[in-house]
Amino acid sequence: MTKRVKKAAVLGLSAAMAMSVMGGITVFAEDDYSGGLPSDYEGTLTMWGWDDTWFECVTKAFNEKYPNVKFEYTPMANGDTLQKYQTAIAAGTELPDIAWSIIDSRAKVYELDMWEDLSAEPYNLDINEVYEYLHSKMVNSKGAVCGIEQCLSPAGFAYRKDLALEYLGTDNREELEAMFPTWEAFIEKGAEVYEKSGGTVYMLQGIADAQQFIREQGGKSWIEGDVIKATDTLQKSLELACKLRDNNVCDKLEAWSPAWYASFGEDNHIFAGCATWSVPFNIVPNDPEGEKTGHWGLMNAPEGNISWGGTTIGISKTCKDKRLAWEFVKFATLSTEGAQALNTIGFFTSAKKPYEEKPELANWTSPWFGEQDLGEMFIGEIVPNIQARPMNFDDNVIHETLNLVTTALNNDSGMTAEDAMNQLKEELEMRLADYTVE
Amino acid sequence: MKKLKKSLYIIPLALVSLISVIPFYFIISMATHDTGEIYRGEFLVFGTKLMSNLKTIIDGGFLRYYWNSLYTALVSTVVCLAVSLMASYALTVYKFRMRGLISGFIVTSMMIPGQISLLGYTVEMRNLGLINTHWPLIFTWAASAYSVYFISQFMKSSLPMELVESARIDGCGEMRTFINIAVPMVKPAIGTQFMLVFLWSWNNFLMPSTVLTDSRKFTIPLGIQTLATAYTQDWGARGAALAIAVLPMLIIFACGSKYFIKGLAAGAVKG
Amino acid sequence: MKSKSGKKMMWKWPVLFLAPYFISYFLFFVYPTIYSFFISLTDWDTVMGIASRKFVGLANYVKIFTKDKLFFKSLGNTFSFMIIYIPILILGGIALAVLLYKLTKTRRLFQTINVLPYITTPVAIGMIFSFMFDWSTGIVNNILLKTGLIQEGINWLGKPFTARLVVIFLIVWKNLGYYLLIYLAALSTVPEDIQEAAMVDGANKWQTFWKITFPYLRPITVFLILTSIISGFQLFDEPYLLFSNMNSVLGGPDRSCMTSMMYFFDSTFKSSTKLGYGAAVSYTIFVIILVVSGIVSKIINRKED
Repeated sequence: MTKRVKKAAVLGLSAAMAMSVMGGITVFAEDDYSGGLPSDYEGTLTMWGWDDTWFECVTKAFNEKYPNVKFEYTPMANGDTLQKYQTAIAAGTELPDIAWSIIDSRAKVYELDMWEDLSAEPYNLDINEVYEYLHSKMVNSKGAVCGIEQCLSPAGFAYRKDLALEYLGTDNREELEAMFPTWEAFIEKGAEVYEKSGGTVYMLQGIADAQQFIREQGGKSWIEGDVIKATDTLQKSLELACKLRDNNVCDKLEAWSPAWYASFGEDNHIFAGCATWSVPFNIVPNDPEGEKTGHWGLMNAPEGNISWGGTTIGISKTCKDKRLAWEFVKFATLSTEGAQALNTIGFFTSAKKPYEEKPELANWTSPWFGEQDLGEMFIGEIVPNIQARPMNFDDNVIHETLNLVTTALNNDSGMTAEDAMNQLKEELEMRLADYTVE
Repeated sequence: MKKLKKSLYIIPLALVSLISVIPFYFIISMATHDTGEIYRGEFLVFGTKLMSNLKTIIDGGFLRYYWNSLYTALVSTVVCLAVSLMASYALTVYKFRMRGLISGFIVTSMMIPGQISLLGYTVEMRNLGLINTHWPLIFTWAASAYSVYFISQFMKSSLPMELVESARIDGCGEMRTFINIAVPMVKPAIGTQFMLVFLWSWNNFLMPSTVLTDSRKFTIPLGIQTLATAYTQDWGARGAALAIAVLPMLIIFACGSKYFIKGLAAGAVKG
Repeated sequence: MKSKSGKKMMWKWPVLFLAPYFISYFLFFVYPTIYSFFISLTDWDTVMGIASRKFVGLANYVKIFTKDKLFFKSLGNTFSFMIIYIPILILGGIALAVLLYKLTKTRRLFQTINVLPYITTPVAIGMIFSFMFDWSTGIVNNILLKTGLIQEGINWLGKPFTARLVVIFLIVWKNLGYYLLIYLAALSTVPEDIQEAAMVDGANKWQTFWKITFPYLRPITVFLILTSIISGFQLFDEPYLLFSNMNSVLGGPDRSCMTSMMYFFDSTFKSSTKLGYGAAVSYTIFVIILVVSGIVSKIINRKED
């Protein structure tokens, strides 16, 4: 009897143990978001995006480690993000597993009911892993972290060394930075350059290029509550825009137009705004000569550098395999392997740890910039000092309206800063009737 | 003297015609150059990069848009024609009390601008779960007042009632009389409507941009719109995409211009 | 007996044959139209989800008429386009048709060539024109510079006035062939013996045209004006694509080329997603189309009397 009982007890116990072990395995496979072998991860992740270079680079590296994961990538225009996501939600059609969000419309897109909060269970992202200036750009109004930046997008000024030497007397970075502590100084010199070159050489391609910097440099929010702080935050940029235009400091090229792209390969603009992505996207394809001569340099912009652009990746609520999605997001944005892959195309991941673990990943040179270490400049100098402007729900409309005013300033030389401010206010009052414009 | 006068007539006509075709010339020319050449304005004469540009856009999946457009337009056209033929038959062959009223209603509804239903239609399609399918683009052609009007006008003048009567006496069912007698008699009208509805469906932009978000489902006009993002700096590829989007249609329609022109003009002149 | 079954048959078949049309018409036009109106009475931003939808009565309409200057600006733009291009198309169409009518051999050729723009995908037209009229790389400036007609490139799409000119030119370019075609068809309905008789009576060509020929063209002209107004209010594809480069402003410089449909589309589906308000805008456009075409047809018909 006792023997039998014992036997039964042992059997029962071992059965229970076996079950709990098995149960443990099941739990491990379904709920543990940090463990597991790479080859355990299997499945397909869908994405809609606009940066094919980033996608190819990161997924290729990911697949080397996780061979059983496939990707389905659908190209889309970043301007369509809001429309596409909200249609999919309203219509109940499929959202991508990994959802991208461009900075321009992000505040609105993040309010959509589609995001997993990455700072909550089971992801438990510690936002401090990411560079500080990005924090406010990854969180929605309810405090949920909806995505992580694909990569850093700090921007300074690129300059043509040969032209700088000819018209400014030096191609030394420090000397140039000392020459242009302020936009006023930049304007003064720019007028001289224009004179000296007989009206053929400008400092920048268009006023929009300067505007991009001036607007962001303050780091001040455009909207507070239901008030648009137009005068407070944008007056200065309009005044400078007029001076830049009137003194022929900037050419009249419209940003992103064919002529604007082509100008990177021509010899009549000394400076250009330059974010990390500008090198592969703007300079390399349009300036074949530069590869041999290395005639570009990178320096701090007058009155400070900015964060230019940026795309986050997050996990959608409808994602079919969130564990796998999180594995990918972590790999792409937080891991050293991801940073290593990005280094090959001159991009830098948004997490700090990889650069502490492998400092050499923060170094990057391009033949177009000769010997200069662009990585060190971007990560070491620009990133720590960026003052990021907080996002607001209707930023996309303000952005578009600013483009409108910039175009008008560019094309109408009689338009004053005051006119521009009035137009800006009037337009904003029309398009965002629910706000008070100050 | 008379000849001289005639050649004087030709001058303004030739000038207008030249302006009509010049943009098409530039599309073709663009398609044969690379971006650098286009930036430098070297596209007055044809270049040599046609094949590489075509390869770029075909690799980029532009042909998928083609297929989507083609079959959507075909199905739309067939559905539209089937429905319109039946309605026209009802309004031409049968005498019933409300006929005049219904015909009048259809003619009047031709003048109602389509934009009024667009938003509700989009939401309706969302609710039916038809977003990112081609059904919304097809359904919108199912009830085409213009096609009914056009075909029934044609039927009235070209389908002899005696023929219908004798078919019935011979024991033909109504359906068979319709399919075997009436439809063949209005073939020219069918041809004209086929071309028109096909063309309108092919060119439609606003409706697909509200109901399609998945670029694999895109039709040609949406595909063209995305060119600016897909080939930001490849203007040759853009040219090639425009060329293959536009030119084959133009050639087909130029060949069928006899029916097509008649259709456009007849609808207007009678209306 | 016979008459009864005959009557039954007479009802059954027309109903069956008309059913697909009217069912489709109801499902895909009448219902969404009514549904749009219902939506226009709500405050519904799809970003906030369907739960946020609430009934607000006519508040959206009140807002359009009291606060929405941009809508009226877009409406004004649309009007100003129509006022210019409709007369050009009518007169141009008649003039070309009269010329072409005399040519018998080349008629088909000219017809076909000139109708090509009309059948070209509008989106493609917008894109081609934006390229042709580009300030620095565009072919138009290129040619003007090379021939010495201008010294410095004109920023066609950068200034409100020239941008409007480009839009008008685009619309005329696209539609002139269609007008030509229709007037040509209409001319063939004019009996030739009457014209000849008038000439014999000593009327000159000008008089013959206005007194004899033009009355035959009158109904078609009325038709063209009305349909142009209706389609003019729905102008969207071409101007939308004309300003679709990456950093372009919706509706071009100073929103000078923003049409009412562009405004509707952008505020409903694109840069904001206020469905309720968008529906109210589309109903307002609809009513304006009805009123304007009503007034215009009244004016034309009164003149006729």
